[in-house]
Amino acid sequence: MFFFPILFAALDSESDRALAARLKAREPEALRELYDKYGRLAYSVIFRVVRNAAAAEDLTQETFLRVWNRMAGFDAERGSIGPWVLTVARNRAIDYLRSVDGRMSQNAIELTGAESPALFVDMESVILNSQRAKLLKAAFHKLSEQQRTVIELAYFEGLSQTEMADRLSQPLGTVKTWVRTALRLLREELEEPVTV
Amino acid sequence: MSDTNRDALYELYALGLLEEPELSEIETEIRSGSPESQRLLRQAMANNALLSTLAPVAEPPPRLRRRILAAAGVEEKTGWTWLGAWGLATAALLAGFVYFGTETTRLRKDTVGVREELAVTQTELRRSQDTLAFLRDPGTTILKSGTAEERQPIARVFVNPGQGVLLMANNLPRLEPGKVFEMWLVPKTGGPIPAGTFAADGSGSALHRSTAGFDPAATAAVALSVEPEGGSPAPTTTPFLITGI
Repeated sequence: MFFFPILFAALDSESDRALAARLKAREPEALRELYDKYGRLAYSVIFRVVRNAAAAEDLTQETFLRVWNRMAGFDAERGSIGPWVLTVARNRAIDYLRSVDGRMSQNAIELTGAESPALFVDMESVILNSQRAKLLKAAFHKLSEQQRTVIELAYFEGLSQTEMADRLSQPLGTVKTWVRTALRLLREELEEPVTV
Repeated sequence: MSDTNRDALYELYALGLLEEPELSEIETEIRSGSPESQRLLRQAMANNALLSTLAPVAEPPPRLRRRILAAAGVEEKTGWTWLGAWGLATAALLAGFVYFGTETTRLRKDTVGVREELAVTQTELRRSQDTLAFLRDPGTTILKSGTAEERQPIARVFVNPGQGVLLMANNLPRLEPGKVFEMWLVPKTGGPIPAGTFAADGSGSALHRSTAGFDPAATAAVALSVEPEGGSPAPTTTPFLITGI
């Protein structure tokens, strides 16, 4: 599978903080800006997960309404709005996929809890920018095919390691090794100094 | 545990992949609120969010922006002149200031809730439409198992080579706490393949779908058994409903 990195607009933390403050103040223009900044990325993530345009539209709407209605709990000074929006988008899509598949993993953490705005504070200031996206893409392509597959199955299909082992007809231990090695390699590449 | 291992455990947790016993260990650390666990969790969440940039670009239709803004009660900008906008705003202020101050606040809160519920309902509708589309597909075949006797478990199984298996079951037994039903695809050769776990409602009815690849030529039956919560890699109890393909 060939991936294109999403080309970000300048996602500097300064403007995101100001945007978050205006969203908390319920400024209509701020919601327009939030959608213009993250709408395409959120829709792309959701579409990649559900592979259905109509469902992706519904879930993108659900994502932005959820963020808009939960801004009161977001720390505009310390929070990172972009990662929060993308996490909500991915979680909505995975929840939808699990519901359609009738698939609820015992070991999957409760996704709604994993998108609490309190989790998205004090993140490093360069989490989402085009350079880090390029860095991740390059690191991802250095992985073996099996390592790339398990990361995709985990992130874009929400499969547990047991479910991946079933899907790939591989021993659970092998899948766990692929996952951990892939995460370690990605982390090491992302820990390289970044110039912004 | 080394630092690298701890990073990995938090990343697995953020991805929803962590399993016992490490899951409980990490949850305990997170609940403790220690600065180090919070830092590791946030770093893992940040890396998780970055993975979203691997998604291929998909362009949302222009109508989606309008739809979201309308659902949030935010109207799109229009080409009105400043004078028109000023006049309208003044009129609205004069008309509404005295009468509707408190009432508007209450209604706005209600409306936000209703809009969010509407979005959830739309998602549920989409799921129902997916199920209906599966049932309507010409490639879908119906199979039955169980007896028609009152209160005996009975299953209707719809199979479609391209879309998987849909199970509609009734009169399912009441389960002990910690138990679930698990569907199995029984191949003509080899052991049963897990096809997802589910629970029944209070009347013993359940609807369960597996979208995993389904090969009717290689499958002998669809079976149901009772398993521990979370499912089993192979049946641990005797299947009580077996539908031959």
